[in-house]
Amino acid sequence: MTKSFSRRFIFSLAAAASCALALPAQASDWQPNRPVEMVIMAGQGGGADRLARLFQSIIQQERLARMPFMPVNKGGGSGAEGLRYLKDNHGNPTIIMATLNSYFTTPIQTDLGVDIEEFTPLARMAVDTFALWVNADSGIETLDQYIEAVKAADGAWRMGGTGSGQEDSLVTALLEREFGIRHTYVPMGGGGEVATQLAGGHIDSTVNNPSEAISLWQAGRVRPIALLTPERLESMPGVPTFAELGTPLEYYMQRSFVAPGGLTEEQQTYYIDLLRALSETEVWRNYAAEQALMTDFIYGDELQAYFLSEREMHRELLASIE
Amino acid sequence: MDFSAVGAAASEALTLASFIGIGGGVLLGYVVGVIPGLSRSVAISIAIPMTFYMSPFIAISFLIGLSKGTAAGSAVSAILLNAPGEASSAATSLDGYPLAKQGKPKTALQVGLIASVLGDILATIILIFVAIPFARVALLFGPYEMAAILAFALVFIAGLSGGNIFKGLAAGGLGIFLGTIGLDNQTGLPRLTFGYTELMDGMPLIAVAIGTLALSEMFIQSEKLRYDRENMSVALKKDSSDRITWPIFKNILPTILRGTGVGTFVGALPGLGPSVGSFMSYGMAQKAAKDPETFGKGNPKGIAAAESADNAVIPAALIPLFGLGIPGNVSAALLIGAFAIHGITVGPLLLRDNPELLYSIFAGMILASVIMLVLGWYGLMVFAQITRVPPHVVIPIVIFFCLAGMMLQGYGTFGLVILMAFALLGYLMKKYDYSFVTFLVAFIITPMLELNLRQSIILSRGNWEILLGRPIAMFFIACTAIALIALIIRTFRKEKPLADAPAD
Repeated sequence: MTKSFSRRFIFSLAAAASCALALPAQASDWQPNRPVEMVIMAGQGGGADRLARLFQSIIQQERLARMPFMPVNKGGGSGAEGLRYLKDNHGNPTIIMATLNSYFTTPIQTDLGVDIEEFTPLARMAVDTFALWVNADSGIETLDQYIEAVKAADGAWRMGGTGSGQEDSLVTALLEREFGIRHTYVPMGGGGEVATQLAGGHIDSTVNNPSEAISLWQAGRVRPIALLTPERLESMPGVPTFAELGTPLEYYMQRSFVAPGGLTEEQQTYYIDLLRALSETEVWRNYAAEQALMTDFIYGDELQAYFLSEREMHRELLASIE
Repeated sequence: MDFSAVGAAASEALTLASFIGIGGGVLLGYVVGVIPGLSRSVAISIAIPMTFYMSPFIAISFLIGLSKGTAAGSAVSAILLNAPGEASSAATSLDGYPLAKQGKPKTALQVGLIASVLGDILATIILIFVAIPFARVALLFGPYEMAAILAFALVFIAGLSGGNIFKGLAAGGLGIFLGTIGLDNQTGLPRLTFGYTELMDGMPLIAVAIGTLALSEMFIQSEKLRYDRENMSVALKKDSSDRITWPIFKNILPTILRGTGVGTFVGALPGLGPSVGSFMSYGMAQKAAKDPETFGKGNPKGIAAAESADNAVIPAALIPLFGLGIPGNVSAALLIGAFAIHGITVGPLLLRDNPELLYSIFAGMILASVIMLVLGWYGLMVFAQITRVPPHVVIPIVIFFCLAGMMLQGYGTFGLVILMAFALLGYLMKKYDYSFVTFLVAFIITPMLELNLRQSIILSRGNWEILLGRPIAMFFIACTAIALIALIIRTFRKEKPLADAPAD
């Protein structure tokens, strides 16, 4: 036992040394000794999935890790499948999970027996932003016109979004609470489908992520009204924020990594260092800027605190809908 | 069109590196397609890491070649083993397998290959000339239109199976019922999941398709092996009578053109998918034929209809992708990811910002089709030999691939249990002559139909009159009604069914 351990240790040291040129300084002594499973708590093709696969490619191309990272989709039940998987693999250091906001909402809405506080927080890579969009032919250019139009429609205003209880419906609920308006919420498939239906005029407005609708905006089919961010975004020139317009509304889609509970500090540090190195690569910087992502890197305990406060916020929000 | 960019694109497409890259993609896809149990989206997600080291043009062409290869390859197992690798090839086996059993496996494979390649090339050409200007046509199709089309597809395809209408209704009803399992998108509540988180996204289509199509067929064949050992393998004819001839080609050409049209239409609308395309095309070919009774008994037109549409869907699914930046299906969504990895945003601006890349990709797609023709032509000579291999060797190998394919999808033991359950169901359905085609199509269409129907109801607030202003939806509702009436009339006249799903 001891022998194989020390051999493994020497091997990993040797490997670390041989990679020393390519690798950024590794503070952790621990290294995964088999391929790392990168669980995605969403289906193939969505925003979380694309991002995870981008990370996989950057890790591989920039040689950030000795072992490959293999993306696995476990999106069943708004991510319930992934959450259960992480819980069932307590203490397994070769699994990490790419999360989104269903990390908070799914355990609140379904009785999974999962407490996210038990998982090991790694790092938050980015938060995706939201904006209010209308069809380009609607004639609506400002938030005031929008509110007026929704009020005039008397509940018949069609807001499209992802499934009920998911982010888009929460943002819609925030808007309704803040402005005292009512929409008819139309649940659809993924964000791409929602953007398309808006461009086709089948619905009146959406709260798409900029990345989902930017290409349709460039094509002149849809128009952003306001951003749910504290400051304007470089990739969305000329678009005001809700805060500027007098109502400080904010909502984000977080993109973080977590690991199963029961990891040692060394193991946690390994992944945090790796993700930090990843967040500093040029490919990632360019991608984030283009997709209007905000990239404040937070990790470890600070991330856990963020998770817990977000969970409370979502709990209140969900309660206020029902 | 910018001709200097086209010239530069052609010269980039015709380098050795691109030949190797695209050829490798087509070959890999073809092999994955031939093996029952492995599917296109798995092939693409496995292949994406391989593309990190390629130039953007080769990477994208590699992935598109891979898609095309799987579509053409899946016809091989459908024709030779009656074990289609994907739901979209199930229509191919309806006529392909009987024709192969009649001692003409090469003819069947050649018809399939030629239909695949032609459907593919024609749809690629349509993509090139139509994609960007006409992509916005897809925007005309909202929930009302999609619900109407899906309802039509359901009735029309279900009506194909013939046989006893009550058995048809039972099979379709079971498909619809199983299609409703999973999270309710409107209320966010789970339905019929019995606490299994694995079922929250619905019954995994892959398990249902592999189980009812491929694995159950192996059960049927191993049962037959007990008392019909001699006739199970087909000896290839030594002379040249087993090959596609000019009269056969002339005969199937109109079918291929129609199939391409259907496939392109279905592909250009986000969400419908290749199985709807291939079955619609098969049904239309049968309705248009002078000899509808020969369908299901080895009519080359049946193969041509299914394969041309199945392959036309792939380039057509890129129409909304390149025209609007919207992925039409999971494969296209994975392609967006592949573009993103290379720092390219897909959408209408690709033509303005990166015309050379776009034209290179188009050239690469045409090249992929040509490579597929050559590769498939020689490949089928080899694969046709499978019919000579004794079934007691083939059957366990196919069963192994079905199980391995399921494991590769990442569903674990749970997936295997579901797979076995559906294999058993498929076995019983085939044994007692319930149409598994009706079942499978109902299962595939139901979730999409439900989503669009409920959206329509919310949007219209339950008001029927809103449909009067939607001519496209009205057209498909009328088509649905006609198909339904025709089906009822046929049942009461007790006519001979047009085509039986091959029970053997």
